[in-house]
Amino acid sequence: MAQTRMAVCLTDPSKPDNPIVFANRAFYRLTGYPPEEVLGHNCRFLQGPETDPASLERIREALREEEVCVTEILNYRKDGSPFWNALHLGPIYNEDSSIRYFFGSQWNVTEVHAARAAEQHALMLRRELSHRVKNMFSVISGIVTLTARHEKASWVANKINERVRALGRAYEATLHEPDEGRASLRDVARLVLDPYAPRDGDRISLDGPSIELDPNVVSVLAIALHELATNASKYGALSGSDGQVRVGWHRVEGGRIMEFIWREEGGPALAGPPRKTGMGLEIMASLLAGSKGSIEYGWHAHGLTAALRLPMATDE
Amino acid sequence: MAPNVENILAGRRILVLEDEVIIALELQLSFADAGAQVEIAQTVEIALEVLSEAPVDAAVLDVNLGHSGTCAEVATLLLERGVPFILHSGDLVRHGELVHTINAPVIPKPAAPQELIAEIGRLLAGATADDEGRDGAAGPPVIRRNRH
Repeated sequence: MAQTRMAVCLTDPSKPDNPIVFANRAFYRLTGYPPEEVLGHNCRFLQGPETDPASLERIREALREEEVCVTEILNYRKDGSPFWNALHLGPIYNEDSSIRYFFGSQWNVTEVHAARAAEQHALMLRRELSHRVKNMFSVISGIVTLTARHEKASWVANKINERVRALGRAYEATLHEPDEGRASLRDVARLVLDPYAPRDGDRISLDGPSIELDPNVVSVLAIALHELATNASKYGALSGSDGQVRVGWHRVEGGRIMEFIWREEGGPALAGPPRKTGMGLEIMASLLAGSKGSIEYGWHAHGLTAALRLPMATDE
Repeated sequence: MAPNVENILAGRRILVLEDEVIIALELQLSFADAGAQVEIAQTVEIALEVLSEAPVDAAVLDVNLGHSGTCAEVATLLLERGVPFILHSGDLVRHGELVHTINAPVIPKPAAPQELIAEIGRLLAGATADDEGRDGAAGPPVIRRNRH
């Protein structure tokens, strides 16, 4: 016991004020007190201004009831510096079952405490960020709606707001790694497409490797998916009750390009390209062109296919 | 939106607990279009006042209300009284967050007011009819409950 790296001490409850009668080297090293200031004294010299009275009460109760107790308590060294102590204490009995000693083992868990606090703090920031970002998207939608109402242009407001909300949903995916702003492609696709996937069954399937997206790509991809899904809901595979959309992606050209395939099946049969493409598909084409990406449509009998290509950062 | 939803909302008194006034105003006007009368409350205190004045038929609760706390107290009261409500929340979509501990449908922000109206209509209809009320007719987006 004298040699273990775990700080250990024994107290003798038969003596007045339950003093420490043994402490090992690790105890002196951890607390910074020399033996003459430890032996013969009650353990309370380790307490300090920030020590939680509730954990002291737990310890007192364990001593009173002769129970084993494990608690974390803020203790202080001789030089006044605090440390988090994972204290394990309990009774040691004589052969006749009378109490002989209490043992106490002390383990410095200050770093564990700091890590836990940092984690809590990160979660709190994430919560706050989520709350602010999503509220902001809602407020923007609100302003668009209220303005359009005044201008009697609600139909324009709806078109704008559908896109704002698709962006808002996509940004949930960036909150997993808020310090980097990166988002998993699968999460972005799932969040944007969620409202278009009818409740029954898997009308929209997602299939591809794990890819992290930079924030600027998140916006482009969110709008692109929204436009394709809107188009499919109005005219394509999601307009009826049986059609399906298969969404797949992979990296090509040594990872520099992400290729994203949208494939509709089981919707109304297409006779060929439409005479006029809708505004949504045009907006998407210009966004992709602006990102040095591209899109190619295939108007097949089984439905629309679209192949999006977007350049990816390769600094990983 | 199914046409009967508007009939269901006609003349109903709806509480909207929302600290962002622009969001509250948008909801108020949209619910008014559907024939409902909206009481806006920007804080928990005001919401409790509204509830003490006269009963409401349904409610939309923002979960995180900045300095005035969360909607938990109002949600508890509504559950006690059997008043249907939905959570309109910008919270993290994750287990363990407050929004998932309250027994009510969640519509994540940002959402179209029509989504909230449809869900409230569905809840009010559910009080008299079977919960299978959603027909398979075309017209996405379909309102989804939060499934996380």
